[in-house]
Amino acid sequence: MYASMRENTSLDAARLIAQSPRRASALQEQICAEAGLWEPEAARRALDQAHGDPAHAVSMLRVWAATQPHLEAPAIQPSDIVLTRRLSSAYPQVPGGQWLGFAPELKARQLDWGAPSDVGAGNGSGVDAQEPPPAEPEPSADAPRRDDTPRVRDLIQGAPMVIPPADGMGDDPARAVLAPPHSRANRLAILARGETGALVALAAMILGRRQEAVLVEMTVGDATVRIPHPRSGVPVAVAQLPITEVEVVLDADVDGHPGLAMGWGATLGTVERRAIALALLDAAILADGDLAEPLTLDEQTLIAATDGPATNGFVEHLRLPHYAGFTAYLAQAAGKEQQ
Amino acid sequence: MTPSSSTTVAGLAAEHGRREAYAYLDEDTKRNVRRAILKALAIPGWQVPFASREMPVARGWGSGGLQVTLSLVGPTDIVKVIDQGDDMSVNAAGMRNLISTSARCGETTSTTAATVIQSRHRIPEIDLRPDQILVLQVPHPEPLRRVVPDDLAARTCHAERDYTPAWLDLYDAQARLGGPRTGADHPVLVAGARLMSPSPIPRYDVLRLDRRPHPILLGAGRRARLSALPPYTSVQPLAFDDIALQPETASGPCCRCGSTSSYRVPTEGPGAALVWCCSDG
Repeated sequence: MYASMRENTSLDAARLIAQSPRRASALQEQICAEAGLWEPEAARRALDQAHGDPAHAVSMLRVWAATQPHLEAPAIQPSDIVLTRRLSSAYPQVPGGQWLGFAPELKARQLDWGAPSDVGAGNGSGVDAQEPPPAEPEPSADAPRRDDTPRVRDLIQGAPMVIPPADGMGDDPARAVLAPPHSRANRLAILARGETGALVALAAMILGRRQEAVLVEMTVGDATVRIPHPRSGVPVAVAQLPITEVEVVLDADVDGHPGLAMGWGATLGTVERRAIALALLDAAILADGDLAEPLTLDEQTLIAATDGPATNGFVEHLRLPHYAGFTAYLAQAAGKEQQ
Repeated sequence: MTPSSSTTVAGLAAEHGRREAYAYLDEDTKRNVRRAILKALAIPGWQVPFASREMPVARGWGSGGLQVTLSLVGPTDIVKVIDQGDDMSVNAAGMRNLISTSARCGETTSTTAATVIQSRHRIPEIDLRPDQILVLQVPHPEPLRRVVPDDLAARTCHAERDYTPAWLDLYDAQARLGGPRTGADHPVLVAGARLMSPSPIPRYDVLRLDRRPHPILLGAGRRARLSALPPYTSVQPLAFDDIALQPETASGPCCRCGSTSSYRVPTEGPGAALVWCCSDG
């Protein structure tokens, strides 16, 4: 239980996972996500050779990926996604339950001078070249799957929703020539490879101007990628990778009524603020058309948008409970609907 | 807040015998925050800038409220922290733990037992007594932020008590949508003069702010602003004389206590259907 947590053994276990160093580092995950390529080992190597410069490492990874053979893969099936973490800040309790899992918000923010540090072990990026890659934790057998977990968005009643344009499969931004106007699928694909800091800064600017922004559902899961066998055509599992999927709602005017725009964002890896920022950008485009709100780049905006801890904290605060505010927004939207 | 008038922060820090300061914040920061609180109390509803520090919670997660609470709290206090009415949210539990361990004071989940209550986006359901202090966490201290995006222009509006843009926005919403479009965070007029953001509390709570017997302190850490409502301050929602602000309605009683007058939110009930329950229960 995320929202109403009493101290219990599962919370202790979640804390233990949160403090465990045996995970792929967040920097590796971020580089993989920005490169649009899940290969933590290559990210680690790139980071090492780029002397710890993440931007350079992303570039190296993309350059390397461009030389590799490319296979078409069908969409990942919901039955192939095992959820390891799920939470909603729209309702205290949701059907299917809130699963805390690996919770970055439980990590302490105070620097511990007593703990041994591996600074000086090499490149200063926190990546130790000597250690073997950390083993991916195996999801337990009883973990829920995406297809048997209900969507929290189905619970929302009483407010009209912006209906997103009908869209087919998108193109691969690494292969296809994508020209504007972009379909929503293509736009999401391009943004999904965006730089984390840029996504978060833009999302924080949008968030600061909205009345209502609620994280409806966030899931972190392990997805199995299948491709058709070259001879038999039967889909075979070739890779397993962590993905984070987020749905947020923003206030929107729907046919002259206050309503909601549901944005969706997903990223490779578990850097949650990336997925939250992507969903916020998608929702803002759905709510306002082409981001109709003029964004003046004056002094105050620039200073606010470049303050990293402030924008990161602000975007990530969507993980906190928002039940009271969300209920208030839905109540006033429903009241207008009846008139 | 202190057991006797002779107790000083320096004395408490020495007694504490640890490297970190008493109640986490160093004395200069506490003095700065307290000065801002006094100034804010002297001008109810005015946004007083203060030197907001980096706190061990993320910015936007209650760092302002936390600094206010830590600069107030003494060893005899009993602290309660709630997050949208919930005592057990990760963030609220973490802050309550930080306050009670660094200030060596009591912690509670009972509204009546607490002396300092820090809250995110809810006014506690039980009315507070004059000896209690309510600290609210504020994300956007500027009530004009949507209608006057420029901070300097907004400050001029406040200085001249010219809230025409806010009234126009309200009129626009009334004419086009049939009522204000704010869900939570409906702006309030403090002492009939200054427009203030009451933090994103629901309208049900906005209507309960008027003439409270206890002080309310509002801290916005990310934007480095403090506001305050001294006891018995008149607080009225921004609304036209003939169209009162309506509180939220719930379509059922609380599933646990059966209350029909509290602020209720939907949650999962039997058979995956939504039922209503008290948000501060």
